[in-house]
Amino acid sequence: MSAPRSILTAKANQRSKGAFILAVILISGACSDVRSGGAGGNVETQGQSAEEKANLDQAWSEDFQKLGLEAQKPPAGDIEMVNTKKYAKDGPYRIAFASQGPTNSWALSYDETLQLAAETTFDDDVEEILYADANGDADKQVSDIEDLVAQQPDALIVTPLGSAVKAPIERAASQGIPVILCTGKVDTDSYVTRVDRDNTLNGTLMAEWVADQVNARGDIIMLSGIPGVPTAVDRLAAAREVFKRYPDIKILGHEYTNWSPTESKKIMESLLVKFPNVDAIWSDSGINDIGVIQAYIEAGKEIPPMSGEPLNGFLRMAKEHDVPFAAIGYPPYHSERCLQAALDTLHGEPQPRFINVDAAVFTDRQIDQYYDPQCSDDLWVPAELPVPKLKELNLC
Amino acid sequence: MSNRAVGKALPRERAGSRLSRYAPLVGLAVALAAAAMATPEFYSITNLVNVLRQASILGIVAIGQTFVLLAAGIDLSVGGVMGMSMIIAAQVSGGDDSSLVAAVALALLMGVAVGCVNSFLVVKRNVPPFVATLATFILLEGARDAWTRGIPSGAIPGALQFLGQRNIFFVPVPALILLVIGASGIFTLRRTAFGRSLYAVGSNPRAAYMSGIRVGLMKYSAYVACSVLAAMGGLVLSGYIGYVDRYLGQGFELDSIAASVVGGVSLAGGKGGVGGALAGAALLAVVTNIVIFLNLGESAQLFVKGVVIIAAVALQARRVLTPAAPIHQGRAAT
Repeated sequence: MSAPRSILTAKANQRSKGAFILAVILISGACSDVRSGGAGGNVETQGQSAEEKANLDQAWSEDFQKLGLEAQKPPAGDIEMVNTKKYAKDGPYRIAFASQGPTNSWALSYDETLQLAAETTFDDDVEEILYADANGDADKQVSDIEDLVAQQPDALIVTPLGSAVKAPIERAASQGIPVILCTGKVDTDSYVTRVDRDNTLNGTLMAEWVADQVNARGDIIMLSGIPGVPTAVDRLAAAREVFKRYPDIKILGHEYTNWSPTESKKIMESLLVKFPNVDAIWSDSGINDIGVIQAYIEAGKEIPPMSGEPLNGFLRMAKEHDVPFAAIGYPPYHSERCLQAALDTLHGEPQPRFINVDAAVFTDRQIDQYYDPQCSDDLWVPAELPVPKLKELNLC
Repeated sequence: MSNRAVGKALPRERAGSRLSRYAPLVGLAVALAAAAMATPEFYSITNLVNVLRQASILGIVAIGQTFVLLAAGIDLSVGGVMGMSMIIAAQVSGGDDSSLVAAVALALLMGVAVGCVNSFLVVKRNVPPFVATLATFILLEGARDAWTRGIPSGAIPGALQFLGQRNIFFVPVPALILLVIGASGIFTLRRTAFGRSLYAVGSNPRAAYMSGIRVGLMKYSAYVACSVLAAMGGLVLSGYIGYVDRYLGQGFELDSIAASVVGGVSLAGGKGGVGGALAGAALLAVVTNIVIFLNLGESAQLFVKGVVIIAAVALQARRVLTPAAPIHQGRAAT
């Protein structure tokens, strides 16, 4: 998982610059109130999006069934429609993209997908992509957004790396630039739409599958990425809600791995000594699982079922060692959908506040449909970039 | 130089000095005793082997950091060096054992180069060590991203995995590597002219210079040793995980400094030794392990780690934070 991981990268930096970041957050928060007059004033809503709500309902229903589980409904709540008439203008457009930067394979695929879509699918509509690489650093992204806005783009796509970007986003919106949040959240209403995979859905799917694997009774371990990162927070909160409904499932331990296989291996080695019999592992990422599988192999123990993501390296190890798993996707390729949302906004088409992207959901039974032995461990499958591009990026 | 520095220490002061010298070992004993009471599983063979392996990798890096700290420097680039050595091993060998020697040689050469750059900046350009090594760290991160575009490809050769993962009669191979490096480090510092000169340079570089010691050369040696040991630590750590982890080595710069300082190595230079740093590394590994066993979570892990460092430094505050008195025979602790 890279978005989360890069948000993570940010974390490493954040740790070392904790006080500074805190100051930035406090100052930017204060500034935002003064300069933009508070959130929400820049975007007009017009009723609800029945279509997008239906799409979300369908994802919740179908994704559970793909794992052989009973269909569920998303938590209550409608999806507002945003009136985008005031942003309508003639193209081609200059689109600013404040990215987290290619800090890992997820983020690289994410950036390349958007760039490729701009050059091919949306070539007629896109004059230029103004790109800024934050290198996974929330502080840098604040100035990145300021620099991009100074170039007066027609729309701004942001992959928010932390709450510090709230103020520059609100300032951009107050200047009449439509903002598209692409992967991740910020506590503001000054955006047109947020394109993301519903992490509550992913966390719930992972937990329900784990509960099913242990027949609602057993001892489990939970592994998350980075504390405070929304991807990890939302998945964990959703999973904990699920496990509350299963009183006979005992959570032996919950640890953060920083989405590093090295960390997850160290942690799992220790946990395996303390808890020799673990029935299943709820893990929020395939990156954690790589270290977990290694710890089990070295301990010479049978590997229990685990949740994860469709990362080719995890699938390779799962196949080599017959690991039962459920992989819940978080595709990096949805950046194309973000670009489309930005262009639709500039065409004056109303946009739903939230667009959930579809993702691959499967178990070890379907591994051969997804695992690609010809490609790198770092490939997120199913790949949606053309093979020459994947080769150029050393992913295949 | 005060009279007391060269005169006989007062009994009370001597007792205090002895206490602070053995503080890391006392801390380790307390942590081990706490483990016996709180989590008896700690003493299973499997866990002891795990902790020993984890402490050994940190120990290898902490020895290098100790050399630099003794010369009144600090090295923030060790995490970057570790990551880069893993990437060199993976990319150059492509997972093939036959290219391992070349890959390891290149990784160690990279360590030498980084050490030379660090010491050049510190010695020749008078850049403060903190700034010089931080800049090198950032350069290494940039070079790594430019080379790999965020995706380190290749694989860790099987022979390297032997170094990181296997045991010989219940003793992890990294611990055996540490044993050799640690013994060499202790011997160098205690028994050689180089060691005594290093303490002299850290204690009072001017006096060292006046007495004919080549201060610049000593600092060069310390930084190069530190980077080469970090490169070795990176190779062993990549063997341990057996997977190309882009974030490998992250946090080791601060952990290695913490291990050294907890072990009684002075941030002001000229005090401490390899033995203390190793005890510090062991203490940090044991405490982390206990906290995981107690299921206290990430925040508690950081909190406990912080408390251990504060307690250790507070116990030996004068020793760690004040510059050493001018060197005299037998001052070097290990």
